[in-house]
Amino acid sequence: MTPDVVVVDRLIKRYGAVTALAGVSLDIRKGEFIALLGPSGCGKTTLLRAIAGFVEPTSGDIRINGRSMTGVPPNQRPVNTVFQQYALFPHMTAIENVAFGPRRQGLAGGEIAARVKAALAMVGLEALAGRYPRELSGGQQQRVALARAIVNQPDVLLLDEPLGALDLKLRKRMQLELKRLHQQLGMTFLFVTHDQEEALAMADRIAVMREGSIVQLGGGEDIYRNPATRYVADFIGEANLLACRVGARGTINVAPEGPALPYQFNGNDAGEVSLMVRPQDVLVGGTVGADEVALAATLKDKVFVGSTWRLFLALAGGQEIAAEPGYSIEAGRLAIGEATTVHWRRDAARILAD
Amino acid sequence: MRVSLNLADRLGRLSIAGISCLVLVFLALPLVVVVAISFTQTAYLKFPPQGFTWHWYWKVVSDPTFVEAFVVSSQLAAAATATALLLGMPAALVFARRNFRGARALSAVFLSPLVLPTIVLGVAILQYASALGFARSFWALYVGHVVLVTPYVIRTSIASLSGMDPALEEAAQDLGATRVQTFFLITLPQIKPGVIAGALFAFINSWINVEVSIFNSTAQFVTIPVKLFNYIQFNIDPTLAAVSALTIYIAILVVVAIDLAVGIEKAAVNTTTNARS
Amino acid sequence: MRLTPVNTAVLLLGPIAFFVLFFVAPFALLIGESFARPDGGMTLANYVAVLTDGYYWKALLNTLLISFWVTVVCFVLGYPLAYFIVFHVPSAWVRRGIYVLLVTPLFTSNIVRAFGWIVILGRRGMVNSSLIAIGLIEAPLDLLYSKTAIVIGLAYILLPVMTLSVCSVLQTVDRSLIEAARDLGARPSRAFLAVTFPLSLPGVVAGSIIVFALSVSAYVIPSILSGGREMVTPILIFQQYTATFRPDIGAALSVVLLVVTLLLIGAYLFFLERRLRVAV
Repeated sequence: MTPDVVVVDRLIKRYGAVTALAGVSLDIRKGEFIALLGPSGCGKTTLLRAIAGFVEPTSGDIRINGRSMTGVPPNQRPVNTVFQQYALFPHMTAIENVAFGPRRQGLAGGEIAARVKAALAMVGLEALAGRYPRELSGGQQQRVALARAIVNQPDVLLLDEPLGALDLKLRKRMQLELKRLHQQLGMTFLFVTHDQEEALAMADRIAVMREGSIVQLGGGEDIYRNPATRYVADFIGEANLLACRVGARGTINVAPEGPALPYQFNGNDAGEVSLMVRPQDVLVGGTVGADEVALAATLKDKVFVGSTWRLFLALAGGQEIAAEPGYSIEAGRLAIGEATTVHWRRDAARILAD
Repeated sequence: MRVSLNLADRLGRLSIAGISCLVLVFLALPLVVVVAISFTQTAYLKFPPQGFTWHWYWKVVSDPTFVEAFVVSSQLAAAATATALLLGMPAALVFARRNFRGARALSAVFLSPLVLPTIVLGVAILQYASALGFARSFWALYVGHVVLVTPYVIRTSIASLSGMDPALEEAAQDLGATRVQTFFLITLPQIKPGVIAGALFAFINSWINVEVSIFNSTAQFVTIPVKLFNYIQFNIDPTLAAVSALTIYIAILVVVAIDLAVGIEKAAVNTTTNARS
Repeated sequence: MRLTPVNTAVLLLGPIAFFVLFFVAPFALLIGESFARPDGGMTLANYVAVLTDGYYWKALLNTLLISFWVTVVCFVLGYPLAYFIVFHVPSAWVRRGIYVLLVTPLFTSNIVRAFGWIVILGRRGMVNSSLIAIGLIEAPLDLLYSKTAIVIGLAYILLPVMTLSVCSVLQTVDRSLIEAARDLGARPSRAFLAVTFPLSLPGVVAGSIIVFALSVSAYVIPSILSGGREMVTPILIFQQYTATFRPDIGAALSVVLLVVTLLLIGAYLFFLERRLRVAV
């Protein structure tokens, strides 16, 4: 088992009455690409800044390679940051920006030159090394910021929404490039983002944060398939969340008075739960398979979204469900107001308590 | 707004432009008049000037008392500005970066020489220096001028520091720079234009000061404005115009320097308005 | 960069020491002097003298009256100029030139600027010789050495301060508000009175108070342009140290001037505070 390079231990950060981090614990494995995901204000940037040393925790500890970082100033921590707006030094050329870190380490001139050259080559910017940041495009500035951070060979590379300022197309390209860089360097990456697609595309593990806590930690597909809470289900991918009531042994009912569906729920009975099913798993019309559950529904609206139809249906009790059943002729033919059935494989849905 | 304007509105626009041009003439006139008259060939003041001569300028530069006063003023302004930078920049760094209890009151004290009566500052320094035995000396002038011009450095430095992206300093520290290295390698280069503008404001305000200097200089040991003040009581002649014109040229040089450093518009609006930053 | 308490203390040590030694202490000594009795005791006699003697009173009232007129003139001339600079000057280069014209006088000694007015308003000055040349008058007018001359001289010196103060606020007026008013059918003059002017009032008030405070404490201009015919408090202070040698009276007068200025600054800060609260 690979050792943990960063151990965050019950970290709490309060600003007056506001709690930014409510006792976060997180172990980051050596060489992994981990994403902190959550909406703004969830504490993900505070956590990153605490690891970098810009935020002094109220309590708790951060250990990097076993060494406690409490009281260690940012310039003595074995981490480097790629800042949100890059924070390139405007009065220095790209190459001077990249050489800033190695120079502070007091390396020999030849060693500095070699490292800087290698780092610039790594991001494909050798040709523009002499330019000032203002003479570079957003994407190029982004690469300089990356080179400037990796040239110091930090134990962990911290990335604070580094792609947020780029347009969509460039962002997609930089995502792939970051992933390639991660593989080439074998470095540990901690990536902060509010974009779930970005987290899914790049990270080995995702820590979903909410109100200063990590609510779920796991691989992207695992979180997508098995969200721990309604919040996670809604945040990662799209989800139908149907309000349900725990019924007789081994069943639940879709509120208010839907039929009993065969789902086990090990909680208090007569409690309120949610049934989570992804629109992509919901089929409309056609035959209902043996391992499927089905509900009667009426088509309310439909939108063609390119490769498929997106259908909005009303269940008998009034709750709505969205379906994206892949390309099917029946779905396209269905008229608004028409009665039909929605059905999904029993194990495609999850019952969530909170 | 290229909407159709009726006659009254057009007249309004026109009259604003007209008044503004007159006001600008009003602003330029005394300085233009002084410069023009410094070239007159007559031995008394005459406007419009007659002929053209450098005679009065030669008279000034060959008069050791004027030259001496120029030297005193320059040394004083340079020393006061240098000290103001040493005192004002650290203070600005604190006021821009840290909000502790009493910080506002403290910064108000540091900036108050901008609005307190300078004549009272001059009197206060005179009495204080007399009590301590350094009255009417370079050092009395020096401390008075430092107090007078430090606010300019503080104000422009605070403005530059708060306009700077705080992530730059964090990035430097993140890359291994100490606080001191961060200040000299990143912060200072970033705020340099503002600091230069502040230093120029400080220099010129020391250079033109009368009220503090007049109480703390002697008949022999005077700055240029005090020398002019004493001179104007008894003589109003083209020599006076030539000295005055020289100070106007210096003022213009400083304005151009500030324009090159940070742009005159920004510097003027930031530095001369609002008693507090 | 976050500063630790130790950093803060180190950075503030020099400035605080210098200002305590050469700013706070001298002012404290001056205030002490104003209460001093020749035999070393404490007395209010200097203030009684300064505040009951009609001569000192008249000078103070004269100072305030002159300052009032200076403020009015600065507003009347400075506001249109500021408005013109911010809204009507399309070219950045022209604006730059205007700012140079505004700042250059600020960087010139008061003496030089007063001297300029002597040349313009003097008996053989520009105005008189022009009027004589076109035959409007035969003998030169006495334009110099009067209250009017002092007001002109001070207004000239402080006009840039007022203009820049108004400019700084006009720059921040949201132009879409003015356009909205125009869009809703307001004529330019109406839009100005309903939107622009009220929004620019903070700059006007701030500029007026600063102009007033600086006029009250002005010494050089009144001294040169009064020709001994007008008395203001700063001239009185000067005389206590150079002619009558009554530093105790001079100190009391200085404190009075200081208090007047501080009251004005207090009004300014109060206004600023309220304006901030309104803005938030």
